Amino acid sequence: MEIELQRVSKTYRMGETFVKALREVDLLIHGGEMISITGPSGSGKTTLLNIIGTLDRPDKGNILLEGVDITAYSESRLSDIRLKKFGFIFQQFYLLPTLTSFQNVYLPIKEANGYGSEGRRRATEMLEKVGMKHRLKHLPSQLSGGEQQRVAIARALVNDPPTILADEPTGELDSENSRMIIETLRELNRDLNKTVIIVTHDPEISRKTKKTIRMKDGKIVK
Amino acid sequence: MASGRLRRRWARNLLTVLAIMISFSMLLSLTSISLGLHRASEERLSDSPRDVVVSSLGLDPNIEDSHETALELKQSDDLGSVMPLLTVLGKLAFVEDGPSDLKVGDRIGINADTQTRTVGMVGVIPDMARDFMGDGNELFIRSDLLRFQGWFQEGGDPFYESNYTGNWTGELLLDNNLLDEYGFEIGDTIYQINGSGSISAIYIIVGGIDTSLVGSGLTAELIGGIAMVHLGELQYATENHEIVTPEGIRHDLATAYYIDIAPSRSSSIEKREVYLELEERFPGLEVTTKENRLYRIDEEVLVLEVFAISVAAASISIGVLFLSSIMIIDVEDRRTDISIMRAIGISRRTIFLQTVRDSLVLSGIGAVVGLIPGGIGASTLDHYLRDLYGVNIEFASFEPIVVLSSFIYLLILVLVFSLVPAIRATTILPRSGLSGFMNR
Repeated sequence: MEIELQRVSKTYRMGETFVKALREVDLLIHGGEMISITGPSGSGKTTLLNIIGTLDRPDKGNILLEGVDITAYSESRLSDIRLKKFGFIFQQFYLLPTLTSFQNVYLPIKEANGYGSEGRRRATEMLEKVGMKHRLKHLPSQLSGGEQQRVAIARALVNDPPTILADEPTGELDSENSRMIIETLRELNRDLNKTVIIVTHDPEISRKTKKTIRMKDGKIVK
Repeated sequence: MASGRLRRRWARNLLTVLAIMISFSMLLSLTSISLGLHRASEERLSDSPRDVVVSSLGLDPNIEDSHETALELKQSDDLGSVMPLLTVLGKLAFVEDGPSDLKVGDRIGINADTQTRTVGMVGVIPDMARDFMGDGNELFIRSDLLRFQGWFQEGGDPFYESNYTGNWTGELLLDNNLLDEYGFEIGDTIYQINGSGSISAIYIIVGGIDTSLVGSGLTAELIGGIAMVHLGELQYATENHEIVTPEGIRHDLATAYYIDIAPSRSSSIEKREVYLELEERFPGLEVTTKENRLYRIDEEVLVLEVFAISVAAASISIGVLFLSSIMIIDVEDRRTDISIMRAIGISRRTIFLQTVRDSLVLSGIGAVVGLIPGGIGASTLDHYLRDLYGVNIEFASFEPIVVLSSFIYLLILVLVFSLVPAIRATTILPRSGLSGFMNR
């Protein structure tokens, strides 16, 4: 899935001051790419990821998905795009604490396809793929950080989205689990041709991606 | 999935369920009482065969020449049955194995063997009263249904017919509650005494009466039961056969006529004409139709119903407002969870429905659990009111219609009041709860 940002700007208000998080950013991401976004804190990399993933709207500029301008889409249409076109992986995992591993993974596919045995089978299959089939009925609080992130990856993949957006996916993990997660993302890109966009501070991770975008003061510098 | 969310904050949700349970059980109890009162009053009156009641204004007997007038009215082609009636409070003395030579005017000493009781005494002309009785030997007096075991031997009123000097029949039908309480039987003698404690009349019990009065409560304390005798004999015993007043002597006093309109005058227009004629005929008396009485009872019961329903509605509204407040707090607590859901593409509609469903689940549990205390509450109120008023009326109707309508009412309230938390939940933005994610 091709994603294009045209002269995108975003300003946040923090108390009395305004922070320009993005300044007229242009970006073209082709389907099947694996990209890392790096830069110092406050450089706008997470804002960029949010805008790519339609979690936030730009103040100026346009976002195009597969050539279609979605900038002015309603919230419900953007929600549908997030459900079907993007898989999100967060640093804090953000699993729903009252749901089991299975229920967390089943939730997006149920939303997309409704109740059904196919959705349940798919959710189980995704958990099996990330090595979590033996933890189907466990709550997030009963899982380690690495296990929670694997469940989050299964959730991100369950609707078979073309693009995976990962924000510091290894930030809360030890080196062994970090290696495993990055390897999984690489496999997704390599074997399933998923577009993978990773926000990271870690130069080791950015070295493993095919392309790196470096940001500074809300602009892409490289 | 809902159960996991609700279990997570179990203490808060348990209290919410309890609040709904209490308010729903109050709704059930008070609705049952309201329906019960309505039904009881309406059924008792609508079952009454009397079309018209002509009655005295005030408590004292004010209808003069009642025997003659009744006979005269009975001759009218417009009217079917007519019955004069004297109802007064009287005091009966129950003398156990007492001396058989007691006579009118003797004083009765109150001792362990003699007990007195104030009763509602009803004087009728038996043959005329018969016309108002159904096949089941039943007669409505005011709004009380009387069922007779046994009846007067003498159908007329011979003591009156000979100008209060004829054959004294002394026939009396007595409330079965009193017969049971004092161990009296048919054939036993009973004495009516006046204010100075002297015997004013002597009666022989000829039958029993089943009444709706029960053996305790306010009514039962004021009126221990019902006793029915010949009209002329009751008039004589209570000195209502002849009263000297500054305006002159008044004869043959009664408190009411019960009148049925002739079947030939069955249309409402014809009935209306008869009512107007009766009103003209009895200018100083109150003429009420069955419709009037039903309307009046409706009005009286309506006040009670409105009160009961208002309390019930306020109670359930408070319960549902509590639920709504808890759901708003719940939405705020789940802000991060909801924003995660929004972030991964869960629609506003789903989140809206999830919040409404949580409200429905909590209120549904509360309502189902509240059925038991609601039923117990209705039954307790029913017993309490029966005991308080001393009448055997079904005050509470705990029926499927009450449960169903209460559930529907609760459902509507919950749906309306859960809109606030549900809409609030849908306004949470996908990024708003993911602060760590956003602000770096």
